[in-house]
Amino acid sequence: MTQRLPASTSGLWVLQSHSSVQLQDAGRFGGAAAGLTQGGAVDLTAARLANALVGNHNSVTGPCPPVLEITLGNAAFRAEQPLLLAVTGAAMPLLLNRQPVARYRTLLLQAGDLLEIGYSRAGARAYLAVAGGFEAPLICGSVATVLREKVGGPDGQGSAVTVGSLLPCQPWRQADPQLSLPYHQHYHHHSIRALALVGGAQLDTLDPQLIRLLPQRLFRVTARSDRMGMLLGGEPLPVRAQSLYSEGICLGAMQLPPNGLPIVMLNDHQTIGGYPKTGALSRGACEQIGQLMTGNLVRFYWLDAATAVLQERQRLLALQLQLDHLAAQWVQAGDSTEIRQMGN
Amino acid sequence: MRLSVPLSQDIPVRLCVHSEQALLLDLSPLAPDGPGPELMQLLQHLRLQLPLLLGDALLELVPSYTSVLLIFDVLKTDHQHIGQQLFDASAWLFRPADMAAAGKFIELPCYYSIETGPDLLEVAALHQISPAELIRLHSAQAYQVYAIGFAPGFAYLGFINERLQTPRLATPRPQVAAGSVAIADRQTAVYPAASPGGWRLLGNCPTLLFDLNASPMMPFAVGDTVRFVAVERAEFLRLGGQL
Repeated sequence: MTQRLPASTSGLWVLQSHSSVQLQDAGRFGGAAAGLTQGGAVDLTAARLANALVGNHNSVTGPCPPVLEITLGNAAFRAEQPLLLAVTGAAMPLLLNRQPVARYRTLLLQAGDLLEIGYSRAGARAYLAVAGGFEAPLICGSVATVLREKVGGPDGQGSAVTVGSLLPCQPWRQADPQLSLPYHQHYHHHSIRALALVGGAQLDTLDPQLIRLLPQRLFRVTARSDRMGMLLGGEPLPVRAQSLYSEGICLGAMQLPPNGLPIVMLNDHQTIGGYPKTGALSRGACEQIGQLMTGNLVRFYWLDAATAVLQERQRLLALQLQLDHLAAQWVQAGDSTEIRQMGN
Repeated sequence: MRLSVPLSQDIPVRLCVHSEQALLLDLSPLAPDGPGPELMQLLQHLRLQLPLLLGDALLELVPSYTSVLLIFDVLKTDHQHIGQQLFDASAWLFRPADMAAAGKFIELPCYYSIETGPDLLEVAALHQISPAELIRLHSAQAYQVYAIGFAPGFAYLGFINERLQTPRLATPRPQVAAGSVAIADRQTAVYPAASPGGWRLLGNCPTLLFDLNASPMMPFAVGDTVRFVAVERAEFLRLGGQL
């Protein structure tokens, strides 16, 4: 029998954290029929870009190496070994040894260096990637943390990133390749959003006024929103009482519970449910609503499914081009400075 | 495509848009009186056949009561294409005669007692029957697995004898023991893991019902048939039951 290698002792020490600092990836698929939710980075675009910046090549069709999803900020880390990192997503103040540093660029930390992430100024979720990716057990093919299911995360048991723990990752032995993304490719926060809603079949059985009323309403993101769903506030929509057999729920589904206030399901959504649904946000729109902060406003407009598919394909292709550009820069950096030269 | 369309003239199943990457097959027109064993046999058949038909474009499939949710990869397929595939295959997908693969039948041991079922006496009293009669009624019949959700491995089994129909607790318990066998309304279930819960607890099943590392993760799936078999305390402990 081969003995398992001891776990990596190099990595990132966690000095400050909370339950919304979690290990995430592209999510867990294939378990929905057994009740496992998909999980994964809410803003998968930002997570993939963070990975591509530090040279963890990934494509829109493939897995996303594990990253830290930091919701609302307030986290601090110390490097045990030299590490190459990048932070993307929401605009959170970033301090390296108490000096401000930029998001969307590679950061080389030396052993003992302190990285602090302050409270978000704009946007709900930032992503921290490290060259080589964080090491964590794969549960059904994913490290995605789902607190409620006690699945995934650093220990596989669903815990968030806890203070005092060491997040294992490989040390970085080369220079900083100094890669960055231009400003226009950063996440830009809008505190008022208009998002496309694909009308669902249950619209036929809901109040006929909904089709007209829903796009007229402005909704507010409430503080009760989390990775399960965005709970919206505002003037309640008309709901017709009906009892529905529970049916499968997809990411982005907009449920209308009896109080008439919509809930948009995010990555940790339950797999089945019985509330009527008006339709669903596309994956791209889910990334955007998931970045909204408490008190931000959102409006919806109807979009047909075929157009939504085309827009989603265009969005994924545009992201793929950004990932390809970064991969190409890594190749160039390797050619000029031998930065990619492997130790063996 | 329209929000909801019948699949074909012969088959009243409806195909419904759920999102840019999801379609729902609504089977309710086949069961005007609600889901029953026949519909669950069809659901079982679809659960096994649809992944073969749709291949790797299918990301997730969630059967539940009268529907099957299909989540697909928008880079590989779209609503129209899946609709066409389902239409082309409808003759063998929806013909009950072709359903060779009948669901599994699983017996679950259950230790009905006050120590494992804190609501046993209260539920019996509520329905003015003896605890022994309650246990007999709960274990006398087979149940269909109608849906799995709420928590990983939590299966909704139905439907229990009308005489046992019981509302949920007004205030859910903060902690229900793993393996607890419970009823609510006309359904019954086993809590696969310790969790909060508002169902009425009658006993405990020592069988492990959800294992992330097993393949499949559960001993049964939607469409299968389950029956509880009353066991004594000693047998419950021998089977690995925890008190």
